[in-house]
Amino acid sequence: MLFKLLRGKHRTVVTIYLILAVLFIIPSLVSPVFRSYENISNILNQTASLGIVSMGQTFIVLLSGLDLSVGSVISLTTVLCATSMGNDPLTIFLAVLLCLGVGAGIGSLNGILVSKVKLSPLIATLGMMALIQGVALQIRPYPGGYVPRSFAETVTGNLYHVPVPAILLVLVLIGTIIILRKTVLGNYIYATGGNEENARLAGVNIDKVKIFSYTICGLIAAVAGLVLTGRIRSGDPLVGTAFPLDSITAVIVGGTPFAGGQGGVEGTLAGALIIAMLSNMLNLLNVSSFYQYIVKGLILITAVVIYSLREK
Amino acid sequence: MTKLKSIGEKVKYEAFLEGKKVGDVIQRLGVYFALFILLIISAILSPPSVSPTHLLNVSRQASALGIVGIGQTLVIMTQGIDLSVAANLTLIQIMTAGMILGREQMVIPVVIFCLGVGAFIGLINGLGVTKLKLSPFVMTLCMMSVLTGVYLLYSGGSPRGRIPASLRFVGAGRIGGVFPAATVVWIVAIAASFIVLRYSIFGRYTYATGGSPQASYLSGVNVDLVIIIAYVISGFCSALAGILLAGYIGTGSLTVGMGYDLNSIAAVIMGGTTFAGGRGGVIGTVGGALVITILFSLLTMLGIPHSGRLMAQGLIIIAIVSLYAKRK
Repeated sequence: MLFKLLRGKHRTVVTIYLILAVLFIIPSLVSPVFRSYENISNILNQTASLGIVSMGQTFIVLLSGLDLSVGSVISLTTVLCATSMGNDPLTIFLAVLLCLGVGAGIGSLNGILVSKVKLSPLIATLGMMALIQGVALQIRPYPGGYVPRSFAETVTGNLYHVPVPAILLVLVLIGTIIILRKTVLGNYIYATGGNEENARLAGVNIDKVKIFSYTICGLIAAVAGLVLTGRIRSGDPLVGTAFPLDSITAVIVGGTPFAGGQGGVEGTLAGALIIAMLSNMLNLLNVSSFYQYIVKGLILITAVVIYSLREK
Repeated sequence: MTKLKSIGEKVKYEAFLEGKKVGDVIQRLGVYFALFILLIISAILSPPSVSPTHLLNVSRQASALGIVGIGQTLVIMTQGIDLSVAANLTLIQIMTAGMILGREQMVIPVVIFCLGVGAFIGLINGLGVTKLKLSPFVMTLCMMSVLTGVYLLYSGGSPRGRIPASLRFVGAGRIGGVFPAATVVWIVAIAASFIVLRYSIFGRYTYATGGSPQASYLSGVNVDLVIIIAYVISGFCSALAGILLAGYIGTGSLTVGMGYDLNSIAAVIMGGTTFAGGRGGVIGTVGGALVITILFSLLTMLGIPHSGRLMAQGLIIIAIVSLYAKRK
C-alpha cells in the first residue's frame, strides 16, 4: 500500500507527509513536553501565519515566479490594523476589509508589472517590497499602536479546543486547493507554469492568470498579516522581513519545484509545519537560535536534492 | 583553440551588431542617463550634494555595493543569481575584525585568508548549481541561511574586534587627503573585470554560456567551469567588499550587509544586464550602484526619513527597469 503510494502520482506529497509524520512521532515518543497539548497548539499558532502566506506564495512559484513583497504586505497589515482599529466592532470590520483590499491591490499591481510591463517577477516584487516597506515605516516608524482585545482574542483564541489560527490555516488550505484543483483557473495556472508558450498557444490568457495569481497571493499575505496582528497585538513595520524567503523555503520544501508547473498547496503546508516543528524542537532542546538558520538552510537543500534525485 | 576563438569572435561580432540597435544603446546607456538626471535634480535641490568633495564621498560609499555588483553581474550573466552575497559580506566583515584584533602584522594574512573563504563559499555555490543542478536561487538561498547562522555563532551575537590603521586607511582613508582609497580599490576591480570580460577567453565564454548554455556546451565550452568561476568571483567580490567595510567601520557589525543582496541585484538589472543572461556588463552595473547610492544620499541630505527613501528606491527600480523591459 505504502509502496504504491510512494510510486504513484502523488508521491511527492506522500513523501513530504511521511517525513512530517516521522519528525512528529519520534520526538513525541521521547519528550512528553513536545507532545503536550500546549506545545502542539503553540506550534500551530507559530506556523499559522507562515503557512498561510506560503500558500499564496505557492501560486506564484507554480507560475515559476516569486513574490518578495509578501513580507512588506504583512508588515503593512499589522501597521494598518494597529492604527485604524478601535474598540467598536464596526471599525474592526472595516480595518479588516481595508487590509484585505490593500493586500489584493498590491498583489494585482505586482501582477500587472509582471504581465503587462513584462518585468521579471524578482525585480517587480523587489521594487514593490521596498515601496510598501517604506509606506509601512511612514505610517508607523516604530512598533506600537492599539489592537483591541476582542480582535486579538478572537484571532488567537480557541474554538472547541482548536486554536483559531489553525482553523484559518485549514480554511485557506481548502480554499486554495479548490481554486487550484477544481477550477479552470487552477488548470490554467499549472499550464502556464509548465510551459508558458504552449499555454498561450492553447488559448490561455496568460496575463489574466498571472494578475489573478499575484492578487490572490497579496490577499492571502494580508490574511497572514491579520493573524500575526492578533498574535503580536501591535503594529510592527518590520515584523514581516523574514517572510518572503521563509515562505519560498516552505513552498520548495513542500515539493513545488522552483521551475513551477507542478506541486501544490498540500505540500506547502507540510513544508511550513516541518520548518516550524524543527525550530520548536531546537528550542525545547535549548539549542541556540543561531543554529536555526543553519538548520533551515540544510532542510531546504536536503529537500531539493531528494526531489531532484527522485526525478532521475 | 582556433575553433574556440572563432566562437568568441562571433559572439563579439553579434554583440557589436546588437550594439548598433537603438534599443540596445538605450539599454546600455539608460542607467547613465538616469544618473545624469539624478545629478541635475541633486544640483537643483541641494547644491552642496554635487560638490566634488561630496561626490568623492559618494563614490566611497558606493564602492562596496559596486564591488559586490561586479560579482553579481557575472553570475546574472550566466543566467544565475547570488542571494548569498550579503551574508558572505557580513561573515567576512565580522571575521576580519575578529581575527585581526588590532594587530598590524595580522592584516595581510587575515585579508588573504578571508578572500579565500569568500571565494570558497562561491565555489560551493557554483558546485551546487552545476553538479547538483540546483536552481541558483535555491542554492544561494540555502547558503545565505547557513552563513547567517555561521556568523551569528562565530560572533556570539555581539561581534568584537578592532581594525589597525593600515586597513582603516583602505576602508575610510583618502589618498593625498582627497581621493578615497576604497574608490581606488573599486576602480581597480572594475578595470580588472572589464578587461577579463572583454578580452579573455573566460569573458567570451561567459557571454556565450549566458546566451545559450546548450549551444556553448555543444561548441566545446566547459559550461560548468564557466559558471563555477562566476560564482567564485562573486564570493571573492563579496569578501573584498566585506574587508573594505571592516576597514571603514573599524569593528565587526551584524547589520553591515543589510540590503546588499537585493541592492546588488537591482544595480545589475538597472545597468542593463538581463536575467535571460548573455548580455550586459560591469560598466552598466557601476552606473546602477552609483544611482542607488546617490539617490539615497540625496534623499538623506533633503532630510527625508528612511521610509521615504525606501519608497523612492522601490519606485525608481521599477521605473528604470520598466523603461527597457518592453524592448525585448
